[in-house]
Amino acid sequence: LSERLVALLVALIALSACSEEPLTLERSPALLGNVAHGRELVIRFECARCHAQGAAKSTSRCVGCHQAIGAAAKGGSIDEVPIVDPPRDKIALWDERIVHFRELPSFIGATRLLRREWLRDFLLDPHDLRPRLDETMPALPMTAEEADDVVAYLGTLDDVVSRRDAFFRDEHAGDYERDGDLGRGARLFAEHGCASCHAMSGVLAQPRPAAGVADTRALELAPDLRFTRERFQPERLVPWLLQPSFYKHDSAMPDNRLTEQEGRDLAAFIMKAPLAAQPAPERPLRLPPLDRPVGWDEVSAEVFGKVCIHCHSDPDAEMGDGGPGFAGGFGMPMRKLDLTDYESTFAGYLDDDGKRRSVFEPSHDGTPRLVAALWARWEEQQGKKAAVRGMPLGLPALSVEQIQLVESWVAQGRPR
Amino acid sequence: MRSTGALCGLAVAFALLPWHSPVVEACGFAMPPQNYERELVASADQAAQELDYSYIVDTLQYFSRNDPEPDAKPADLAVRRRAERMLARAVVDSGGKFVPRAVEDASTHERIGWAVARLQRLLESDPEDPQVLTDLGVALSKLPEREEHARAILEPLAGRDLITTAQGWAALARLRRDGAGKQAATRRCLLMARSPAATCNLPFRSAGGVAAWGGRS
Repeated sequence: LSERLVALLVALIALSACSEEPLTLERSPALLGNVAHGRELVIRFECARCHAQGAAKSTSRCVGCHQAIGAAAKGGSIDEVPIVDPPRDKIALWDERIVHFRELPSFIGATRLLRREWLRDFLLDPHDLRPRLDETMPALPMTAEEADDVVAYLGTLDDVVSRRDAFFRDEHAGDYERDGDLGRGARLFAEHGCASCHAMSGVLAQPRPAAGVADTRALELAPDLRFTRERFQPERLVPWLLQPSFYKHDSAMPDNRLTEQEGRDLAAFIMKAPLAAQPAPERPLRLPPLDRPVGWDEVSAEVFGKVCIHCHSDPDAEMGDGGPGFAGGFGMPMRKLDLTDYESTFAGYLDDDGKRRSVFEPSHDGTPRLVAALWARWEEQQGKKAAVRGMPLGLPALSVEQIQLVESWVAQGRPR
Repeated sequence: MRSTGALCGLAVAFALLPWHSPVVEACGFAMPPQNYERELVASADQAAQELDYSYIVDTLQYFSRNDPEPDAKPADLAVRRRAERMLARAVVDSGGKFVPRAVEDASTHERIGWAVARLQRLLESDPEDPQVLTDLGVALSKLPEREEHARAILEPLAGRDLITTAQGWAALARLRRDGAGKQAATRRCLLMARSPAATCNLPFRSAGGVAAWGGRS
């Protein structure tokens, strides 16, 4: 109950702070999908493992827990860690070990700022949007209709808009097209240090963090501005640049104190600057199998125990559910793949028909399925559809040396 | 106007609330063993590294005497499953030398039979579990009248590359009648065994249970 009260107060405060004018609430434009079904899908696909949905602090299952552990390690309350009886003596150790899924964008403001068509297409065919963030949106087993329904549901989270937003939107609709100056915008982009966090591939390949800037959250969450022209609702870009916190209270983007004209100029640069074509990232060359012995201890230390077991684990010894790659998750079925130890790795996984199959079984081109999944992640990063789902899901492909190690171990007969 | 706004704010606030329970399961990566049953399995795991069958049996016989709690969570049931498999395996790999007190008066043949029955019970909830099937195949291969049954379990597993232990391959090598088949199984055994000589060359004539088997590595 107390959590609900806090959330209620926060939401009320956020709403009342939105405008100096009398608060007027309107419904946003008609939703295209089935909201109720969209809500079911958001639960089924477990979007909340990564994305917070609206409260003042992250309530997501993985990210929220990692953030609570981080806060507790820095002296915050251990009671915020959403685990029953969290062991105090382990908090610092966990905090030290957690590398990924600490900061991911929330749903807040998504449908207010972004084109719904883009959101739907991104759900169906995600790509790397944030160059400094290791995590990427995984391709989920979702149909186009389901994606529409999810977007419709997300729309309900942002569904109430204030008169001030309507004023902002109407006042600035398309005005960067008419009144924005691309050259002045380029100067503002440099002067305001936008490149400290943002890449704009085709103009600026990588962000150039200013010396001493240590806001890793802002750096990691900053999207590549190349995609702004297809992502953003054009009428909301200038208002967003003028006051990001109005649309997204948890945004890492600062309020830049721009004048309206500066907002139009900056928007003109972001939306109209010529973009050079981007070469597709190349898949690295496959290294030949190692001619020295490779045993389980090495391959587990470098790959399975380091990366894979976060999702393909053992529910008994770890007191969890074994992770989504064991118990099912993100809308995918139970696979029962446990890479925790040598023998469980030989027990394979459940295929789509519920039959056990070896992870060493040859795939369509003869590559063992386990190795094929590791290479498939490289294919996915190139924007290609792979024959098997790439692993690790939602994280960068393993290095060629790591894959070489796995491949060598398999080629040598998977010795202990 | 303000009151309408407040009402809408109320609605928004509830729409923004998380729909899942704030108490969630651990992420499954870093949680240490925290209850009695997990402590037992963890210490048996350690003993498995040292091939201390006596300790494993002493420790894990708790699970053969106590049924799970009615409100046991899936992770708790998984712990029990693992413990019961380890216990049966320790009985088999020790050649029936070490058994829970309840079957201490039984013959060696009956002791192995007890382990077979425990493994068969585990299969009821997951008939395709390759780890239990492998252990069952090994256990059955130690009962002369059940060798065909053992082979009927292990051969299909081998065909699907799902034999999970060196002992499984060693048993199959012994059960196969053709030389090439025996050699192929022995090669797999040698690759998988922690102590290849003990496990693969003298797989089932080892007095005192010296056949190696690995616990959690």
